[in-house]
Amino acid sequence: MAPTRRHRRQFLEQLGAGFGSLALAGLLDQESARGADVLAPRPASRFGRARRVIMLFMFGGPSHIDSFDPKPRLVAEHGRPLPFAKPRVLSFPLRHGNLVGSPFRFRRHGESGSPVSEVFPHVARHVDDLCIINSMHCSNPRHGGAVLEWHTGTDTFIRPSLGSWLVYGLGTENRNLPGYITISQALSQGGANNFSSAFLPAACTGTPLGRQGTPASRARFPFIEPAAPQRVQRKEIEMIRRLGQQQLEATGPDRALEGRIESFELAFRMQSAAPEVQALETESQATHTLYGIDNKETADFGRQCLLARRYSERGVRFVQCNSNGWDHHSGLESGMRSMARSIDKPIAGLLADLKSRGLLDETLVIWGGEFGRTPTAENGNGRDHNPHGFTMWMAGGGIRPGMVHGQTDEYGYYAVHNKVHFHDLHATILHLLGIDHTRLTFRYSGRDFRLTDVHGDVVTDVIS
Amino acid sequence: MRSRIPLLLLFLGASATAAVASDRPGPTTEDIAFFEKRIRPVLAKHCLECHSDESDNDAKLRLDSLAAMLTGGRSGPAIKLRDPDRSLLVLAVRHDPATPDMPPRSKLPLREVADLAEWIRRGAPWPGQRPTGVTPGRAGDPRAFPYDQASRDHWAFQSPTPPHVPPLKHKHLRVRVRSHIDDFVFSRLADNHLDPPREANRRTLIRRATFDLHGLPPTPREVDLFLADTRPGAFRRLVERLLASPRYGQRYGRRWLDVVRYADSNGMDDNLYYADAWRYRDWVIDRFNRDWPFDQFLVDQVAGDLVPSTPGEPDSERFARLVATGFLTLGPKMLAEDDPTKQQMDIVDDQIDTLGRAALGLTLGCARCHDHKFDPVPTSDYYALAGIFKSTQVMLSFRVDSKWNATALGPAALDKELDKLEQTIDRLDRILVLGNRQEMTGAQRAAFSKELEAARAAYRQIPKAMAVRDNRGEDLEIFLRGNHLTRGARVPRRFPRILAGFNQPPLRSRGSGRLELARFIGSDRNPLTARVIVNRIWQAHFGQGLVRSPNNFGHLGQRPDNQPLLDHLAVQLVADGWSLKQLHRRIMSSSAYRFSTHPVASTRSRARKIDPDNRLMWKARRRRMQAEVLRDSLLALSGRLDHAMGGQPIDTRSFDNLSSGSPRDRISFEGRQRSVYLPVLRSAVYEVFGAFDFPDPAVSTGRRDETTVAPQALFLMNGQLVTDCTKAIADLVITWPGDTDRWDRLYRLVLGRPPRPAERDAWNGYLDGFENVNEAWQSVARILVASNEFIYID
Repeated sequence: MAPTRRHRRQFLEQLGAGFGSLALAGLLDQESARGADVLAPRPASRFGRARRVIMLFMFGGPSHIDSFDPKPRLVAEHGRPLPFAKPRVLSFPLRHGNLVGSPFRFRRHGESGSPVSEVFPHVARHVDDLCIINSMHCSNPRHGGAVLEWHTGTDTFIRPSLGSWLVYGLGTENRNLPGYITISQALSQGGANNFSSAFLPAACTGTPLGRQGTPASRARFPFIEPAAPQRVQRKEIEMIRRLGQQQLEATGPDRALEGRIESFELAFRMQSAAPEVQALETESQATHTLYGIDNKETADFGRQCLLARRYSERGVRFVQCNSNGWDHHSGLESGMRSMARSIDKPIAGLLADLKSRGLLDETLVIWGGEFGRTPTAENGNGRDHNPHGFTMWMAGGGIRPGMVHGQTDEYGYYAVHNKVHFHDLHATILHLLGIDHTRLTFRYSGRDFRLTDVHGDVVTDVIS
Repeated sequence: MRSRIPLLLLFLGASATAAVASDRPGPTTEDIAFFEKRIRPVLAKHCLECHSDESDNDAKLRLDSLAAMLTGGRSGPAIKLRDPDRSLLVLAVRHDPATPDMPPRSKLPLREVADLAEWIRRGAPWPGQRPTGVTPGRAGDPRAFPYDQASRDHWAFQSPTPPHVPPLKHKHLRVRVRSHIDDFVFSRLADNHLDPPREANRRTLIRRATFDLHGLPPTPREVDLFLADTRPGAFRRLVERLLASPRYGQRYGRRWLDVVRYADSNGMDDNLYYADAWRYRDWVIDRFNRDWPFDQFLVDQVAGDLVPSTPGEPDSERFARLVATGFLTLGPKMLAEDDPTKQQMDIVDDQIDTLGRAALGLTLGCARCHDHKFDPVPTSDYYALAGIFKSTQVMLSFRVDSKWNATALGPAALDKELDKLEQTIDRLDRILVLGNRQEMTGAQRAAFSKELEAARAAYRQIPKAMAVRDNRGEDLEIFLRGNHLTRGARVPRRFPRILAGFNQPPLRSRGSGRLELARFIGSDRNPLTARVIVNRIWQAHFGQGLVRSPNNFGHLGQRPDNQPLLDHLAVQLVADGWSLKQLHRRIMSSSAYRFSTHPVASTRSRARKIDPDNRLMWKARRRRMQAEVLRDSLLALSGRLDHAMGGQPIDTRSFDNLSSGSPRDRISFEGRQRSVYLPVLRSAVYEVFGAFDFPDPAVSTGRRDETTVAPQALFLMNGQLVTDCTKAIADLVITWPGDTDRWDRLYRLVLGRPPRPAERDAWNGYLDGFENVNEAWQSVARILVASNEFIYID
């Protein structure tokens, strides 16, 4: 008996583009079985202009007071003790010293006049496209906890990541590719838990493209390299189908078995779709230069950014680029300079490219790390972790460009005005994509869960 | 529900405690001036809009008088006299993560924050008001039990009684009964006018039983022997052979490891190596193979360190019990946690949560922050258990990068030596990680590092277990909303009242009370333990439990599909001395175990309509191979499986960070031992296993998913393991003479049967498309191992 049309379609739907499940199988229970097609693209919402997200994640916690949040008073009082109490919980209390001013010059840029440190000359030219939030804060002063907090909204439980929620909420626009991709992400600091779908359907899981340590030029999806010539694989899939149908004829219809045969077809299509996206050599020399791919220092992050643009324009909902090495406990000045140089031109290139292609308006670009750094010195010339006040910025996707939102205190230790917690930014990101964060829920283990738990307020000031 | 989120907080009423006595005379003039100039205006401007009437704020807190501050709201007193750092008011205005930000969104000027702290440091002088005669709010009454009778009457909280075996009316059913299980199953089917399926054929049965008990395919020879055994009892003999093999413990041990969230690293942040966790894994496998009574199996895991030795017992048994307590220590740990109390309580919570789910099918962890919303487990019962586990030592300290406890498997002197090394490592690590490096010379640093290296090398040489130690028993206060900064009343250590009753005698032990708890859980004195394990074993055999939520027998779990059968087996298990092998025999000797995956024609359409989930068992469930079964089978078919048992999975040292540098490079999944012996890394699960629904080892998993996603197909098309194994199979095939023979033997090897004529036709000419005969047969092998018939076990 051949599978009926209706069956076939159902299976395809249940299967989805299922690149998921690569990292962690979700802890699905019976309640999570979602009748509808998990990955079908949802119609555009009445609000929210963004369709896709490109996240530029800076592992380690880049210093806000040396990049986007200048503190003249800190410079003026360089070498003096901090004039107020430090937080109750500190990561390296014994190593803390006195105030240390930023070694970098800040200048106002663009029509908006937002200040940017000298270490980001290229990004500074796009400052009128940025919405800089200087009052970010989170709860955990350690990488592991804070990185998880950013990605999943909690440092205590295994929960779905932001990207997984977006794929779950919006579906995917390209079934031959995963809905959520993360390029060269670290396997430390929570590792795969940072891009897992937890209890959401496995198809919402982030698919790693390489990992930290793999150059972006060699980053591949798992098992994507064909082990046999295409002609042979085609024949093999035909035989798998034929034998499977013979079995079904003998034993009666079985949806799981039929669906599994379709999964081979899907895999076969992905196998040809992914290399096509990754063929950066098909881009012009000018584009390579724009992203800094022709320069050793910027080549790797440049490739990540160009990959992000290519996957994003093909409908991948959430792409994350990852830069590692922002944990400047010592040697802040040289460390900050070289890290900033490695991402500055690529990011500027990405913003320019998205803009010229008319994609920036529907693509939300987000920059930031898990926390900022203290205004006090550590090891003489470094700064310690600081979750109490730091900077992230967004561009495109319906934000209000050319603005600075919120403030830290005069030394840059605590966010003091218009504070924005990770939960608030999560709520805002969902809003920009047309999702009400209080209504995107998933029933698991008897309770409705959401990305922002019981927290989060949309920061309306940053939305245009 | 594993939720510690402060959702709706139940206010449990304030109970009177001692009044706060003032040990100082009234405020000085200076104090008064300070209050009037620097404090009262701040309160008026920033606080009183919401906090002058308790109905205006969620915390039910007023800040308009000293008495109101000392009485506090739902989270307890707002201030602690002379201790600003433990005063919620100060923490809130500092925007400490442990409290809500006050005022919300924007922060007070730093000077005002400092003033409030200073005011409290001075003893909160408030003109005209004195801090006497105030009863601080004391939330969390330890005696309260806010659940109604219906909640307590839930089926799972009643002890199982031996149900009577239902009589079967129909003769055609009676003759098919092989065990009492069938009486229960057949009668439910008959009640619903459904017929049981026919029994599967013998090729299917040996395949089913072998994958079930060993997680490996039967060899062609084993199939032939079973088919040739035509004497009565052939299947019983097959089951006995399978149960007697060490492959059984590897298979069922792995199932238990899912439940106890086994892993070889801490996960969460830096992924530090649990270099001794493998001993626990090997202990589990060994106990399954030895058919260790399940009650004792649980007691050893919860309190093996406290179980007294029997006279004449070899040391190895005492060591085995120490190893067993790895159950408590090898959970996920956020070691980079700067708040020591939070770190400790997170570890305690992991223990309570895992024990609850694994042994009792109860989500006890939900009651950490609020009374369980569905099951009768109030926070007071949670903190009664938490007192037991907090009095149990897991860690050497609770600072950042703290080290876990280990116990030497040797004479007392060796354990002393280990203790000393632990202290040395902890001390040096503290100096080097947290110390002020500026004040150290390079030479000093080098000397410390060298000493640390030497201590770690010596530590590595000592055979040891990740084990717990008992401390003096200490009762805990309830942590309101799970927050250790806001404490409620103290509760005596005891067992959950819904299971152990409301008049429990106090724990007699001067230690933690863990052994008493272990003996209560590993027994039929509670209504859950026997049912929960019976259900797990049933699920392993049939693919679905009689209760379909194996880790949750509470109100939010599923009701049993056949409670009399579940209770029958639970009572039998206890009568059988908690022998799991006997339980396997009982289940596998039934006719129900032999059911075919095809329902009988008379039943099919009606069954699909009235019971689409197959709760009545009108057909056997076809099951996809689990991740490890697939890998092990591929290795076995290609003759490359290494049957060596046990051992350390990664050759590197305890505390090494597995996510970077040389330790990471030592991680390998290339070994050919059975999958249960591969490293299990939290937050970095082996990608092949990840693709095939290996569970997240951070939490107890009662049942794995069976998803069908494209990466599985990609793995079977392109995975190195598949390429290697199919190549080895092809190399084997071409040593067999003659194509006919090759087809026949290859099919028997992979699928346990010869090819059918239609299949021979389908393959006709397939080999001709290849230039190289090896490649041709490799392609055939790849197709067969990717086929539905191979991956799905009937």
